[in-house]
Amino acid sequence: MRRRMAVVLSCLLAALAVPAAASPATVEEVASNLICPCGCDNMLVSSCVCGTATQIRSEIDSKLAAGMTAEQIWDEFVRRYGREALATPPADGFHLTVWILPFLAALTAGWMLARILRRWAAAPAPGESSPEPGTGIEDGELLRRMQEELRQFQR
Amino acid sequence: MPDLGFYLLLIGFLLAAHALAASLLGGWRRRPELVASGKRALVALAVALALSSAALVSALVTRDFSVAYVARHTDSHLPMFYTVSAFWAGQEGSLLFWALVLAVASALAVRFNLRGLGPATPYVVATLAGVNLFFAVLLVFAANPFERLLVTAAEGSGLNPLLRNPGMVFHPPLVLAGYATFAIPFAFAIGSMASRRLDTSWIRATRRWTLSAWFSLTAGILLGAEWAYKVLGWGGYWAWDPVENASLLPWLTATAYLHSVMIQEKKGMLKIWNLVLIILTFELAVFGTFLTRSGILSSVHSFSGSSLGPMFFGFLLATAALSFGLLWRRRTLLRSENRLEAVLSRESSFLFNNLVLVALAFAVLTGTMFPLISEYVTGEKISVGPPYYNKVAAPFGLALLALTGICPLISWRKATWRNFRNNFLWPLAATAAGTGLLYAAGVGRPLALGLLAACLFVLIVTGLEFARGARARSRMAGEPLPTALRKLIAKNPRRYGGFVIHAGTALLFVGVVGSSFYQTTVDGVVAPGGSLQAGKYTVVFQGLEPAREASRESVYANLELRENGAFRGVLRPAKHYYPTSDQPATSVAIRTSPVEDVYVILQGWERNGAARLRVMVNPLTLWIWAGGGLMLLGTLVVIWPEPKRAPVAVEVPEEVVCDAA
Repeated sequence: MRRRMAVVLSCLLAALAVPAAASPATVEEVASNLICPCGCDNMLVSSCVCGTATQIRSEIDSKLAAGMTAEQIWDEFVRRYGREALATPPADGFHLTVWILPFLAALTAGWMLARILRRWAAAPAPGESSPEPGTGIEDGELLRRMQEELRQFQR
Repeated sequence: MPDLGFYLLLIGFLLAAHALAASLLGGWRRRPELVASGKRALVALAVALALSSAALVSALVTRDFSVAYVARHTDSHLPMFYTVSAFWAGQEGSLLFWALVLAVASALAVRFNLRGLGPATPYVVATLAGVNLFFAVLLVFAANPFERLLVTAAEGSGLNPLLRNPGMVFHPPLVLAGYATFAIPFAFAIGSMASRRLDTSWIRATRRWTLSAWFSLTAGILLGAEWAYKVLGWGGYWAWDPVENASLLPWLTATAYLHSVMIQEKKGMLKIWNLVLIILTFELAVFGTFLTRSGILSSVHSFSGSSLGPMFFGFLLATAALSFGLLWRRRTLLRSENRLEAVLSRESSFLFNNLVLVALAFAVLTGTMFPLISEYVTGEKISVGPPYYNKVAAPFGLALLALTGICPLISWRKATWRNFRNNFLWPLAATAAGTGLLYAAGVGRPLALGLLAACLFVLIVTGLEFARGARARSRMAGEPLPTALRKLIAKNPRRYGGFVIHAGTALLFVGVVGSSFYQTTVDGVVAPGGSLQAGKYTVVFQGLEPAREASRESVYANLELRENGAFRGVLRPAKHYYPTSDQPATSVAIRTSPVEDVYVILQGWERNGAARLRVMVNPLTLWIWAGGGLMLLGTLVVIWPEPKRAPVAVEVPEEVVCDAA
């Protein structure tokens, strides 16, 4: 169970790390990785309704038409406004923390939980006799329950 | 009148201080009359704050511009409805609103919910008094809503135009009320720990409070999203901005709590974990208020500029230290009464649901705080924007949906592989078939397909629960199916209300997937008579129409909407100019249908009368509001009082009362 969880989560991580395919970019794609410098809170250039965003979008359009790639355009905005301009936090140095920490925490917690569950399940229940566990929610069981409920509460 | 309001706040401050001191002393010296006096002080505090709030509302509606708050948030042309809503439009007023909800809830809780808590009573009262005292201190010393201007203003500066919308009138008070109400279960938890009375009585006594807080916060978040969509006019409903994230954090931990308390109620397990969750929820609710009000994230300077930031920070640290310290000292008393019977059981699926919810909250918190942390560590400013959250939250969302579907299919206590297989075979087969259809219909993006498959799975499992229950009931009692279904829900509101919430969540996610993966955006500058094409829709621009309205000047763009050439109606997006605001407000035009919304924004215009338009097609957005509505409806069913049960000789088997809050 633990190994399976680990496999699943590492697959998810790997899927996240794969960069978007390098097909010719659209204005939308380029603009949705840029934070609008207009001062609106964390709004993307692709969705901000201010005049600045409109200007930047047409600028991106002409740059794409001139043959620049998405990366080149992002680099230019980083030169102009600093790395703050990118909506996706950089994945290098200390900034890797923001990408790794949530998954590391989830994996660690999942691993601990799996261990705890197994330990709990192994320990004998304190003085509890269990009347045939595992009678799930099959129809027969449900019927019996219903009958019982009905007998008790029917008006 | 405003002075009276402030004196009432002062009286409230003294009452809260008295309640704290009296209940602590009463608990320590075992003097019930002191505790009773503390309780009465809390009731009096609620009355004082209600009167003080009335004084603020009265200053607002009489437009008393000698009061700074009134002058800053209203003007003499503001309609009465919005004038009253200015109560919670600004910092001081919204803190007073927080304190008011907290005081009223505290008064009701000490009056009606303390029966059977015995030795915990003084400490519950003391905790509530302590939290009330903090807000009273804020209002009296740092954020007085009744502060006078040196010179009475001739005219107010008006309400922010973006807030002049019914959604924005109800969004803030609902979120604030949700935040404040989480103080009730928190106080009962602290009281139980302090008095060493650690059974489930505190959980049962506050069940409706927790659910009400969850309801209020859910409704507030949904209304905020709808407001962003319809008023902010950028085509989305959730931008992962810090304030939105702040409201999501306690929502996630509270959702985890509502699930995990079921294990404690049924099996006497997870006592420590439930306490951790309710403490976290309360701390995050205060943290949310702190983020919204201190402005710490937009700039570190605004934090130190007002005394509110440090006061909130101190309160957060102190309450967290006290709560977790107390929890640590009581850890030996919090041993589980039971053991788990099998790793594969519904209990463990609840635990994994908790894990995912809390991990998601941690991820959102990390992202929200990271720009601050990284600036501190590296000195470089970076942004953590929506692409980060979308990437990181997606796997957690997928896991959560999958667990929502799996959970009801696994038996309590111990699932054998055989019934596991029996329960899963049909739902999984149906989901696979449905997913195949979706793929054939053109849903090709793996993540979108995965999320939709998970939603489908949840809906099928939930539908099956209702169908099986109603069929069995109708067969046994000879009732027609609709009656059987109604009685099924009425007799088990917790279980079936919970399923309604699950179904609502799945529908909401369907809308989220549709609108975030398959949105179409077209920008264009259109001359009168020209048109813009977005998918099968054509928007024909007829011309701009300026208009002078009551409190604003507006420019409308008259548009004709055509779908595959057929006329579908008139759309009129606009820009509004308010004399009290530099920024024009954008009003979007939306044509909604269950399949997709056509969403048009007037971005501006050229000298020659051409309009700069943005046309978006947002698939399935209506499902978000429908799913959200269903979640709220389900919560009401869960809160609904369970039918009174006559004492019965036969113990109801524990499987009967399972699931859902």
